Amino acid sequence: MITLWRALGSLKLAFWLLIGATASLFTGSLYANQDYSFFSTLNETPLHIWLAAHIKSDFDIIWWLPVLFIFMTLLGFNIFVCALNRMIRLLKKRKKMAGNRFFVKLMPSIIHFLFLVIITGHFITFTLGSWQRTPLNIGETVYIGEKPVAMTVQSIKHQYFPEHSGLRGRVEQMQVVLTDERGRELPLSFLKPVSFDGTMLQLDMRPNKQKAVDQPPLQIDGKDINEYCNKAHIYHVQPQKADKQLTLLSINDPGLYLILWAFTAILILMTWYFVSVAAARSKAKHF
Amino acid sequence: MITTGRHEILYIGILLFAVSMVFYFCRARKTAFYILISGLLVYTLYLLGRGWVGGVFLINPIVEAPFLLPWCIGMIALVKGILNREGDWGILLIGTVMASVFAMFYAKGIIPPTPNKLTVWVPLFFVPEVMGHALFFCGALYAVASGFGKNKDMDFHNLIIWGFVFYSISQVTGAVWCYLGWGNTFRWSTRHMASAAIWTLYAAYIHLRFLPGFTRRGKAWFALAGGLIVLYIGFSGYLHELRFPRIGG
Repeated sequence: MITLWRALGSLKLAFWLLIGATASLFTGSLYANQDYSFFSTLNETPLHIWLAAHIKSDFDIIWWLPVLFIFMTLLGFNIFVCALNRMIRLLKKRKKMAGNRFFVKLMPSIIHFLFLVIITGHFITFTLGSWQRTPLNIGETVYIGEKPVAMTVQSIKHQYFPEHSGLRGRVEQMQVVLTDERGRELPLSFLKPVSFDGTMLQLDMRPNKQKAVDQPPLQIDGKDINEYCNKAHIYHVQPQKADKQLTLLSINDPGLYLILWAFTAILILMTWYFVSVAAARSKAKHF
Repeated sequence: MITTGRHEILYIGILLFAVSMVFYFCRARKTAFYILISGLLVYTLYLLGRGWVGGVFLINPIVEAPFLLPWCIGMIALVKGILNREGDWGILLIGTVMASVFAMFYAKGIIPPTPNKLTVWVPLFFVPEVMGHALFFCGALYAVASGFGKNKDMDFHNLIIWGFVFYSISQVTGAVWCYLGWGNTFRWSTRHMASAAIWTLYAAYIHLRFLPGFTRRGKAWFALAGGLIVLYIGFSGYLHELRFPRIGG
């Protein structure tokens, strides 16, 4: 048991697991470059469901994904053991150190625990998150929230770039107003998610698949627009008006707050740590 | 703005970087330093001018990576020059000139921004990301210039550590922007995975000092390999974006 604990807490193992994760992510980025639309479905599908659907049929292009998760899981254990061992060692020496020095020494361990929180948060998001898209058209009813509430799309207003600019005819912002049966309004616009009954609601634009049957798809360099991550064409309302569809994205992401809080804490603590270390080095140089 | 669409301003800035480099290697360090400052001022004016390329002010073209990168490397050289005028800051001028020559031939127009790219999170993501890349490149350059760790005065390690701090900031701001714009903090796309790969690579680097087998020479080779990987990932992305339709050049 002690041997296993030591092996798991080895820094050499941490290094090679990070290199392994780098290689897996880099490989994944190359595959995603070949088939953007295939991998983009994973963004809005729980990981286990997506893997179950593709592991046999598409193993040749997704093999790196289980490998990545193995590396990240092992890295999680490694971080936990390493950081815990270090923390215990430091706590034993606590009385011999000045308060500030102790906290500076403790900081890398705390940062590692926070990184663990981020990995866990992402894992929760990937497995328990849900994303649902609903097309938005004026007058139509949409159902949102955990206990679905019927809401009517009251209005959709487009705000375009100024006519005198080179971006004229392109959408700068959109305002959508949803109303419930009591007439209460729920305004939505891009980049401003709204929380509704535990669900985050936000706007997104997608190519209109139904219209695409009648018309040839928009292309860049002979490739369908869906093959690209940049959707500038979709927001250019003239003249391809029929090819885009405004959608409501309803998100339940139980890992989100873990990720964001840990990210913020890591940033503050890491900056403070490196500034403290740099200041201590500079002080040591002067004496 | 007066510098909007005036590409000659960019060329003057690049010329000043090149002249600064020549003076530095001719051992006229003081002159080189002041020419670098002039070059950065001119280049900054060009970058600001890019904000109006679309006929309406946008921050996006200012922080577009191929154009921001030379400025970031130049700023790192400047800061190192301020800290130690007689030091080896001029080595970084090689990086500044190389990156700015790439910018010189790059498409000058802007990719029309979609509504989810019109946010303050754009500079909050791109500035630390490009600064992180710049510091990784500078670290690699210093690692090579130090004869792979032989010259102990050339500290590539600190550059990489600060690169890691900036890059980590960009991972956080990028995650927030991604969530607000697309509904995920991480997306399974080339961009995000390559970005995460760079982060884990340099996370591995900062653990090297705990591995007794890794000497300063080993670290220098790692710094060079890391710089080359960032170069491949970054520049393949810039070249890919050349295929998108642009406005204003």
